Amino acid sequence: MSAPLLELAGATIGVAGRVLVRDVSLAVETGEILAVLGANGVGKSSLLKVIAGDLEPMSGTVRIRGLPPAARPARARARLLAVLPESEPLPYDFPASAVVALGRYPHQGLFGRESDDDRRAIARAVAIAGIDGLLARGINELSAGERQRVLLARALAQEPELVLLDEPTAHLDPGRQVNVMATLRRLASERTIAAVAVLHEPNLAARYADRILLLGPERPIALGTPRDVITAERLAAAYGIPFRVFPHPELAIPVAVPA
Amino acid sequence: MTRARSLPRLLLLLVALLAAAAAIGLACGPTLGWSDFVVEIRLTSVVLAAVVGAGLATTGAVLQAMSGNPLADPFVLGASSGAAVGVVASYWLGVGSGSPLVFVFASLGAFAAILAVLRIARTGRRMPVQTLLLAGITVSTLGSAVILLYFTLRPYQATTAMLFLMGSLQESRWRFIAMTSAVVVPCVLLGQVVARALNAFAMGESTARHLGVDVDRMKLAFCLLSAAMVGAIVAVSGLIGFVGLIVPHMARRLVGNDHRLLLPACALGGASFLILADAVARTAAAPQTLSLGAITALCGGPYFLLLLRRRSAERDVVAPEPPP
Repeated sequence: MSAPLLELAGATIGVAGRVLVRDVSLAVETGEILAVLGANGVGKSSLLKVIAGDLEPMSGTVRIRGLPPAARPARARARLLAVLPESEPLPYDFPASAVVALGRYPHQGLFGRESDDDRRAIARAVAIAGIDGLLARGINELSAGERQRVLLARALAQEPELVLLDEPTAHLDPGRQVNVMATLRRLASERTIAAVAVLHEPNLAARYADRILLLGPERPIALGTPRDVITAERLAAAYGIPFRVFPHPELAIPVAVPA
Repeated sequence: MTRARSLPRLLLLLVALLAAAAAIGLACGPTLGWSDFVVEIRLTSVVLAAVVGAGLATTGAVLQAMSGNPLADPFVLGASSGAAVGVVASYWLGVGSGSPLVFVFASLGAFAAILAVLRIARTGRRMPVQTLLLAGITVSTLGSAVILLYFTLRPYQATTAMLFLMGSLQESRWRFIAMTSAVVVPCVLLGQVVARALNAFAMGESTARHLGVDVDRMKLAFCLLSAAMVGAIVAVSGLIGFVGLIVPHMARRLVGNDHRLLLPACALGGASFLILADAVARTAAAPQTLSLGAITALCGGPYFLLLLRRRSAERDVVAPEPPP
């Protein structure tokens, strides 16, 4: 447990030989939520892929508990790290209960007999995601928001130390956005997980993340607490439009509005 | 939960269907009567049809999960054609038609065809359905051309070529049945071991990876499993198409997409389907026996087109083209 949960050192990330972002260095420990912000196409999703081991960094290192993600066998990696994909319909329909149960795949043996641990983990994940009423329904019959919660339950059933989320609040109304983020916040604060979440909304990031990584074209613009990162100049540099930033009247966080 | 409890009962229903199909298969034939000889002939056809049908349907379900494409089938994806080329290659090299080496060649051909089609169809990280089908059909056509050329250059084997290309269970002798079963039955059982991995694949390849499936190794296992079965099947029965498409599709509607139930349902349903199709082939134009491959293609072709059409209609509704 001594090695840091997630550590990137000078990682350059690119796809098909084209550099998206250079020199990303960061560390994430249990209990933390790191939000990744930036304009479309700056490499936010590719950064998640590099952490998940789906993509090799072009240079620099990525380590999860001391090992590059691709160096671990797939099962061991999935016990450490879960990925919450975008909420698209699946190629084949499955009952939500079967989708959540597959989260136990990395914990099960060859024949996949369900153990007491498996049942406990599934029940806990279902309770946290609040999807008791959805279990018998087909995953493709659900709305995008409901499907997102089922996929969150599957990720939690993996009992990972680190959860990666790619735009977990896309297609969700503000109430459901807050719901997803508050759930993550609670899990992180109870020190059961850490999360790296790609977000589009600076205010959601400021409200729920401990730290924010703001990516610009080619280079990270800033990495730090919401108050350090969410400034008018930095947001303008990242998104190419002017912003007004002012302090939240009650919470110690900034609020950003396009000027 | 009532649904979960009724599922084993659905499998029992399929066992009953298989028994009924077998009875019909034994009762039907161009020659009437129940002499030992007639029963023996019919029994071999029924048993071979059961093994071939179970294997083709299971392979179809495996390929459909692996490719994320519900229209995949060993015939449509070119695996059957590849196996047929393997058989022809073994004849050309002088391997006797009863030798187990024919199976090895057929499986190698099927394996090469599956790998080729998957490789051609892949663009970047994605594998569009249409490209996969086109690649499969192209490889299939290439294979048929090779087989036709081979048999035309050896005209005395022209009827064998026809039987082979159209699919037939007439070559059923216990020796062949035993050899095919020795490959297909263990492979169908192995399907149960990889059923959960197939479920993960059915949610998308990257999801499978994130759930802890060793994706590359598992895909290799699926391809080997499929190639072994298709090779063993094509070597004795030729090109029987669409069983791997129709049966899994019907089984999905009956038991759902969980491969732990879907694979047994496919095996039982595929066996029943092919026994009945073979009974039709033997009796419809008695005393002449029709080509079994033609019967399954007559059922499967329109079914395939219907699914393809419905699928593209759904696509249009779900995912309209983004404006430029």
